[in-house]
Amino acid sequence: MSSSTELTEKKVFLLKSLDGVIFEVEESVAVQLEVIRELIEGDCARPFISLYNVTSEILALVIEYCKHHAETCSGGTSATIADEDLKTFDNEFMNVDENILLELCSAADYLDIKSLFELTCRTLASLIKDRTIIEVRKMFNVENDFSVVEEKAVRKEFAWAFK
Amino acid sequence: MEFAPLQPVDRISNLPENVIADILMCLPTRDAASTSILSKQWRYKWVKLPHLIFDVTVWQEFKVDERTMRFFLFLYQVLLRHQGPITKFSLVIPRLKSCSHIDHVINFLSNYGVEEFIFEIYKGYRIPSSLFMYLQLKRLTLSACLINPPPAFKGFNRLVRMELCDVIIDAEVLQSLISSCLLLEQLLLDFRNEFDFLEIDAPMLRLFHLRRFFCSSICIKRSQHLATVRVTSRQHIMADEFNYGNCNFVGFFDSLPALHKLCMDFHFMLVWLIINIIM
Repeated sequence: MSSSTELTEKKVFLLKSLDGVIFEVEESVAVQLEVIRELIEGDCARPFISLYNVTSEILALVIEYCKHHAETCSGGTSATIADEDLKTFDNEFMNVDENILLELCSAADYLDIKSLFELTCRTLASLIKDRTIIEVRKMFNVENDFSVVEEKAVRKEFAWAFK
Repeated sequence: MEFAPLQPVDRISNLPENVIADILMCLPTRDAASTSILSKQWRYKWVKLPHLIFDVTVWQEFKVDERTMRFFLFLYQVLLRHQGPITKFSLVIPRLKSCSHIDHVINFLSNYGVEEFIFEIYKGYRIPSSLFMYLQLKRLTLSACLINPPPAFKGFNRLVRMELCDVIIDAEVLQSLISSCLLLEQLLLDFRNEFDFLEIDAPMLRLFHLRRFFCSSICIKRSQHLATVRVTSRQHIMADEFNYGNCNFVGFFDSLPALHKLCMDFHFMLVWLIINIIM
């Protein structure tokens, strides 16, 4: 543990995941989680914050994302270079399987991280856009509970919607 | 008890409603509507989305000789099905030619509280007076059309962002359009009308982006908040664009006390140098 003088210089928070794993993060990372930001800024946050809806696997990714964004934005590089850097990072960061993506999206919604939420929504949307409905069902394990007749009727009603 | 969920889990359908809506709102309306066939649960999700987005991808799929008719049939079906408010309407199909259907749609939507309106069809379409009744507008993007608000127009009271690209508009009309939007914070102008003088009066303006030079002299009144100015050019400089490089930017920058960030791109600098130093 760091000495108390260091602690006052750089506040550290402990985030506990659903499965009990504890992550130590700096304030610049923690404040990006809007859900706890007010507590932190109002100095009401306990050093130990439980995040009940996020598993350690996903929380680790969320922290990696917030850390990179915090470092890039405070790094003193020009805004254009920082933007480019974040774009490259975001693209690579989204290169995960669709289940992780859905969990990240869900976590970003729960933790209220606007940029990560928008990024995951856009990425999920592009996965849907580039595929046929049969492929989308398969990718996300959506069970088709329409009967053959019902499905035919929906397809007929919105014939323009289907590729 | 054993954990044996070998059955793959349908995580996407179990996301909260607001999350599913946000994902679908990233899609053009046609693609969002196609999810109605995923399962019964998805059947009507798209009809409540407050964003309607029509782009060229759906247009291209109709047969050439019946595109306009088919497209409007599609658009009317979407509007008939739609439930709830429409906060964003985007129609960007540069090859769609002007017709009365477009007037009808813009007129129809004037009761829906549209906050964001993005519009581009084939050049020369005259924006109908009903658009100037969209009093909830916060963001407006108009391209390649003719703009002339009716005399009774008193401004968009809530507009914070306006982008005008390749529009046809008189200098005086443009000045009064800008000055009537008192909350305007971001303005992008990208067209080549040959104005001699343009006075921009937007007391809340924070960002001003000029994408092509189009005026010999620009003056900004009440620029106390204007922190960012971008002056850029398009990548390919046409010979006749040199006429537009003759802009009095020295006087322009004199009047910006809050200027914090100034961006000029290479193409702009090139023309600027040619006009002011070499020629």
